[in-house]
Amino acid sequence: MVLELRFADARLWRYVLRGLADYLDVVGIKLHPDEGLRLKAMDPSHVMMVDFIIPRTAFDEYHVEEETVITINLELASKALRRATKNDRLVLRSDGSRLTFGLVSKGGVERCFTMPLLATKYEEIPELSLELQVQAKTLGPSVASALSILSEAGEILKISVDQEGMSLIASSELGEIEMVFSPTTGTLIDYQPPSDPPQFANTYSLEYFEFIAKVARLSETVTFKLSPDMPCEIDAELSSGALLKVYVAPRVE
Amino acid sequence: MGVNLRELIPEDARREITDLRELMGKVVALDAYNALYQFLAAIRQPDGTPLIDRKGRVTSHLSGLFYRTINLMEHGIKPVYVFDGMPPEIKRYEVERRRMRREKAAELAEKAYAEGRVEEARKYSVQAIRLTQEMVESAKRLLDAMGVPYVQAPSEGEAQAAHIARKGDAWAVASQDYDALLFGAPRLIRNLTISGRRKLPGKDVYVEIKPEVIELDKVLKALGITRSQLIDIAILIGTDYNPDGVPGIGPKSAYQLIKAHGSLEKVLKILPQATFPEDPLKIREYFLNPNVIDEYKLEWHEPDEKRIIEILVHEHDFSLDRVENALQRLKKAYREYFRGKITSLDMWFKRK
Repeated sequence: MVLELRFADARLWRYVLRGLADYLDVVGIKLHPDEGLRLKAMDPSHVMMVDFIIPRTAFDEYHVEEETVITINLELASKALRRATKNDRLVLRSDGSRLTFGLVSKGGVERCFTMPLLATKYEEIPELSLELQVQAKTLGPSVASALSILSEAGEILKISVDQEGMSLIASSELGEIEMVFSPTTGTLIDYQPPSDPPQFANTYSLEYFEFIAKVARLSETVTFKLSPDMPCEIDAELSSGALLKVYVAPRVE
Repeated sequence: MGVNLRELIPEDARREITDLRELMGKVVALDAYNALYQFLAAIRQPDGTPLIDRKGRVTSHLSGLFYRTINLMEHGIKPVYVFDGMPPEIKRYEVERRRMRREKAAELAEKAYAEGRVEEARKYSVQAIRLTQEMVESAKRLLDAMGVPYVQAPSEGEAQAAHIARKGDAWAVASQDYDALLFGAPRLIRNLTISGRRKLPGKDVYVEIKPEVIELDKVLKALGITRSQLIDIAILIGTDYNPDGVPGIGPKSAYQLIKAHGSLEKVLKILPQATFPEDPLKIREYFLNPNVIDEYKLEWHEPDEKRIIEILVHEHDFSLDRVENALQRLKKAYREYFRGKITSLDMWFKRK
């Protein structure tokens, strides 16, 4: 197996791998010669699933000989990328036994970090079957900032939707914070309100949204997809056509 | 003590739990006596003596119970402790033997301390550990205050815990002993209360202990035997009711004998020299039909902060700061995992 990839924004990888390292030790990355890269992972309690998709066209260079899976140690990988800045390009190289992360700065200097690939068996995570009626599209930095404020207020996130818009609410014994997003105030770019019932609220454990908060700041837009008592799907549109989908299972109060 | 089936458990019936979050939302029935003994053995002062309060009462078991239970609950695990009742009649030989061994160890520990042989004294004092009724009662009071349910078994705690798991009211039994499998628990979790970095007894070596799940169905399938035959194997090796087993017969020979002959009755015909403190068939019958109850309630309640502080700080001299910090973690765990329930994505996966 030989592969070499070049991606314009190394910081994106830094945030995604660092975020995953809070939940997992290792992760498998699937590479297809034509379709591109896909990283699908689920936290050990099966409450959160991450689906990170980078189409082949999103890479500056993409050379993958055959469909392959590389398994990496997330702690090591995120350490290697911790100094990646917005000006760094990422180079991924592998000979089948080792993986090199290269950070190429604006001036063309490459810092390389090489680590062994793991021989862990790759377990395919099944697809979810979800039909979600509400779609609320907003700006990534707004979501990042909202989630950061909410995480200071409590541990439970209530997402309430009606015909006017969506509210993110965190509460604890100390009080409640509500962040309102609506098309009329311009905080929602696009909104498909609930049809049946016309309004509802789901609750989630806020800790699983920390991952989204980290990546959302690099996203152009973030879309929340919801249905009553169903998992929440959050799609973050990233640079160059990369897409991060995060699914979080709801709480039953 | 229990039967040692370790050598017999096939690798694919055993799974290491690398992250306790894998058990989130699952009810785990813990063998309370087993856990309390583990805490008494592991939580000691440098000279080997247990933690005590100013009145000289041992508190190691309360320390372990409090902090470890919070640790489990922080990972969303729903613990229920199952306490032993009266030991069954067939256990009287082993009960007596353990009492004598403890007394002997206590004497040796005292002697070693007097002569300044601290390491040796430490070893004997661990062997001399005795769980008193007072300790059990204080543990139950603490669990009550923490809002954690417990079940008082009529007889063996492991049998009751296995019964709770067989009925589907718990996902697994947690104990260091394998007996829960003999009692029919579908899953046994080992090392749940002692995971982490541990010193090997008598050596200056530390090992990382991780919890593991053993599934009864997989064990039986891989070995090609029934649960009754697994019990027969255990009786040949030695159980709590016949601790010496049959001399010269270890796990592998016992397995081969039962596989070849089918049952204990047939194996005993070719082992006329084998003697047992109790009728071995009665032992098997006890494992298959132990004395258990169906009247129990598994409900988790909001922790009672004042009562916890009263028990640990005012009665037993725990540090207020440490207890208060742990209480914050317990309250957070309760809000997050017990007041409501987090579902898992598993129920939304596409069926193949």
